Amino acid sequence: MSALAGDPNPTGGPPEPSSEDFERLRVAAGWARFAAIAGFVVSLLLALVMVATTLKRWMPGAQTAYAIATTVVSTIAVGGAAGLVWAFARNVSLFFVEGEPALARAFRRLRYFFIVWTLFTGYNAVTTLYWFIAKR
Amino acid sequence: MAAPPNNPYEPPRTTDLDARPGDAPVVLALSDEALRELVAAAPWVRWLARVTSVAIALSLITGIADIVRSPAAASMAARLFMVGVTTAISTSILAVVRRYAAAADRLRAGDRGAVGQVIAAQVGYFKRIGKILIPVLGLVLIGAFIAIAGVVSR
Repeated sequence: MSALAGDPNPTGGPPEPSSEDFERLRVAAGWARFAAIAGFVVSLLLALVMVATTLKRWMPGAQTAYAIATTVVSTIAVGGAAGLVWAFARNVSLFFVEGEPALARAFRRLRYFFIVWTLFTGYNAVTTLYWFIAKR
Repeated sequence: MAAPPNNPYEPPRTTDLDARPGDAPVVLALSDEALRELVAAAPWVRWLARVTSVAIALSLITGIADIVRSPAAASMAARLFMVGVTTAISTSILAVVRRYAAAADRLRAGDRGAVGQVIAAQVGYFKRIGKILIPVLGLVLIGAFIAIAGVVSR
């Protein structure tokens, strides 16, 4: 292992999570799988709502463009995040069957999820602020 | 070893992944690569906590400002309720994210014992999200049904 900045184990020797930790990981994977399925359903419904509302009141303008852009970004972000959470859960399950490198893959997907979700939360905050100022 | 399927086009079963008698026992250990991934996620979890805090504050301020600006009595209670519910949900998720960020920061600082805390925080995070998603999913389903019914009945 290279000596990285913030190396979690500078003294060498493998970190050894307890069997309870691994059992918790199994529980996390179970809830993650449920959250991923719910995320897929939400992203599908968001897409349906977007199509339905666009068909119902199509009015070219900033408000419609904002509504469509927000729904498209939300659908992609929620769907992508759900896919990453699903991959995390699947790789954790694989880890209990075949060991590493499945856990490293699972944690990588989880890191990607946090990146996607941070950017999406930031986008939401910025658009909320923009729209609040624009309405004044 | 399981008997081969009769149908060569049959997709693999989920039980194909289960351990079978005679298979080598799986060693459950955290590899260096997995540990590096947990450490690499720490700054992003910290950023998620910060951005979520800002988003909650913005949502609260804009929600209350909207209510003050157009205080229609009929919708005021509903809007206040919505602002309260979304703030409560977001804050409860933020609490878990902050716990995760604290554990990940400890791991990044070299505390090996924090691996267990990070895993516990992962359970807490997904459990909280899952429990919140159950009623949210119901509301989204109702909303989607109403929106689609509105288009169909037009």
